[in-house]
Amino acid sequence: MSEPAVRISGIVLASLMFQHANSDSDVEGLVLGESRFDEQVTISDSQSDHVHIQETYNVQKHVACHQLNTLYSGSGEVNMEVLQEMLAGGRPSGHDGGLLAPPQDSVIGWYRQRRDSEQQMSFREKVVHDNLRRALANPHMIFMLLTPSRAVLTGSTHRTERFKNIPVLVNNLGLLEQQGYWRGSAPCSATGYIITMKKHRSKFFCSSGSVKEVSEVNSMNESLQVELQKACRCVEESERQLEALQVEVSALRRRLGEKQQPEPVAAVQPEQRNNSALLSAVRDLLGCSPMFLTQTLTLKAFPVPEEYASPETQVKEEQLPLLELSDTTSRKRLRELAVRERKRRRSR
Amino acid sequence: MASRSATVGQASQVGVSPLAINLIGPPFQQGAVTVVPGTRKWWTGAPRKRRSAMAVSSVHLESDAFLVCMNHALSTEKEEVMGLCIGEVEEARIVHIHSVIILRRSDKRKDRVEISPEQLSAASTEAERLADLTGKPMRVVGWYHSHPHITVWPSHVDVRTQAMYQMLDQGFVGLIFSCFIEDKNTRTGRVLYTCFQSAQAQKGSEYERVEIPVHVVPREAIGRVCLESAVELPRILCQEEQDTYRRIHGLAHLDPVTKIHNGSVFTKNLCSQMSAVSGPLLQWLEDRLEHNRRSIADLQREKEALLRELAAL
Repeated sequence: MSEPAVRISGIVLASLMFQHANSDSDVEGLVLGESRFDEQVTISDSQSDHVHIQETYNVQKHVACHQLNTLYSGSGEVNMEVLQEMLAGGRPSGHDGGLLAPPQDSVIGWYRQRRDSEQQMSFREKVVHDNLRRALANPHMIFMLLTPSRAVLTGSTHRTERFKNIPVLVNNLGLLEQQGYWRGSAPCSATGYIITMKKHRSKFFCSSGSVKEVSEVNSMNESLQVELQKACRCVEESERQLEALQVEVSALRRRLGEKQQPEPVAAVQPEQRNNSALLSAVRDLLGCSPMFLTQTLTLKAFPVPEEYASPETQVKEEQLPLLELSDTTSRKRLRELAVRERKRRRSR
Repeated sequence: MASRSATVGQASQVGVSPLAINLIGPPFQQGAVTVVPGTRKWWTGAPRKRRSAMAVSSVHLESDAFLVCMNHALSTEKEEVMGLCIGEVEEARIVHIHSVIILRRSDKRKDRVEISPEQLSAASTEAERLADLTGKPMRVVGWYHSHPHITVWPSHVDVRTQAMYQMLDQGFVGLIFSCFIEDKNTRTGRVLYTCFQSAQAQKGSEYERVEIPVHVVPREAIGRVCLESAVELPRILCQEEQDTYRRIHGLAHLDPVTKIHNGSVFTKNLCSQMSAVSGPLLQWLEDRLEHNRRSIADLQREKEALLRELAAL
């Protein structure tokens, strides 16, 4: 699939309009320049190999016919002699006055300017176009049609329309592609341009053809990368040292910790601490109270006298560490309590 | 230029149909017609509004000046460009634009194009120089600017700016060149140009556009002043870029990498100018020189033949 595009500089387009403004009739002529075909391969989700051909026609200059309808006959056949004369600057072949005529290959199309008409090729123009392609053996020829007209009846506003169906790019400073890398360029064959480039070339290009500025910035970047690598190595060494040291220190800490720990001691029951003052007070106050004595009780919560209690349930004094009955008064009270309990049961 | 509210002065409301004027001057080509002034009345085709006699009936823009304007307008599609028109005003209120002066834009905002008083003053000085050069009473008669990717009609800012200039000179006219317009359906590219003045609106204190007929007058030979203006464009572009770079480079505390980057940007922009403007302009000038040399040689031969014929008689 190919997509043609025409590129023209602002001065060439302006000079075309200038030429027509100076003429009271239609104007036609040859378009000279360069055509280029670039193949681009794109990969998408739907297609793995999409070949796209970009046709670019760079219009560099135009050569006007001195008179209308001289480039071709009434039937549309191209007059090659007139074409050669036009390329040679209006002189018959061999009389170029020392000036080099542009080669025939530089003809990439032809143009016509007609006022107040539609943006449409006439039948004759189509025939001429086909014949021109055949005569120059170039199937890729362009036809430029400019149609100036009044946009309003008062004549205050005028419009010039150009081309049709082919996108035209006017090379200018605002083109977005000026921002990125240029994949192609419209060559300038002006003598002064070539002289200037030759004069200053050595300041920008090395003997090998590479751009000096690019080489310098590449060298600088390379030096920066070397510094980066050096710093990286240094840091890596330090990291390894750090790792090893951390391991060593951790091990040493563990060993130290182990050595500083005391001998393991048998489990000691916690020493019972008695509040002796509270204990004697409770003993004196409540020592004989059956509520605070360990007793054997019946199922109905009545105390069982000691003589009736089984040996297993008898309260033994030595099992009363918290309530040490060293006081004889307390023992006496206990006996009295037991006697009273017996009497009560008998009375039932 | 201080702005002040004021009426334009010449635009009172009078009911007339398109004005009839008598042209005074040498014959000139208008399309397929050769206009011989004085032989008939010419209708200006001014809008049917009730106005008194307008200061300007039409504008004649010489084709070489048109070439310079168009080349300037087509030099960039990312911002509006502007310049001043130099010429004279005839008794029939026709403004003749003989040449243009390309101006640098200090304020590159998209919605406004204004000329500083300093630029106007410098242009007036230039016009005096041209008057001495050509022997014609030249002065600044108008201004032009471009509308890339937008309609050719003046914005309300343009109309107001034009009204301000008209306060200084009733005959001051404005031209607008609309470029980089493309009809997406037919892929037809378009270039439009229009001429206008301003007048007080019927209602309110705003101004409105007044259409002025404009004709591109044929001129086979390109004038010296227009050629000088044409080659001034690359120099102005370079100066703008140098000024921008100087301002950036003068900033304090820029590290070396940033300075190198900015240098590359400067190089890139200058290369763009050489590729898009200077190179093609040089090419066109050389082609024009070649064409002129051939024409001179042809005319010389024709002259010798005519002299021989005359001598033979």
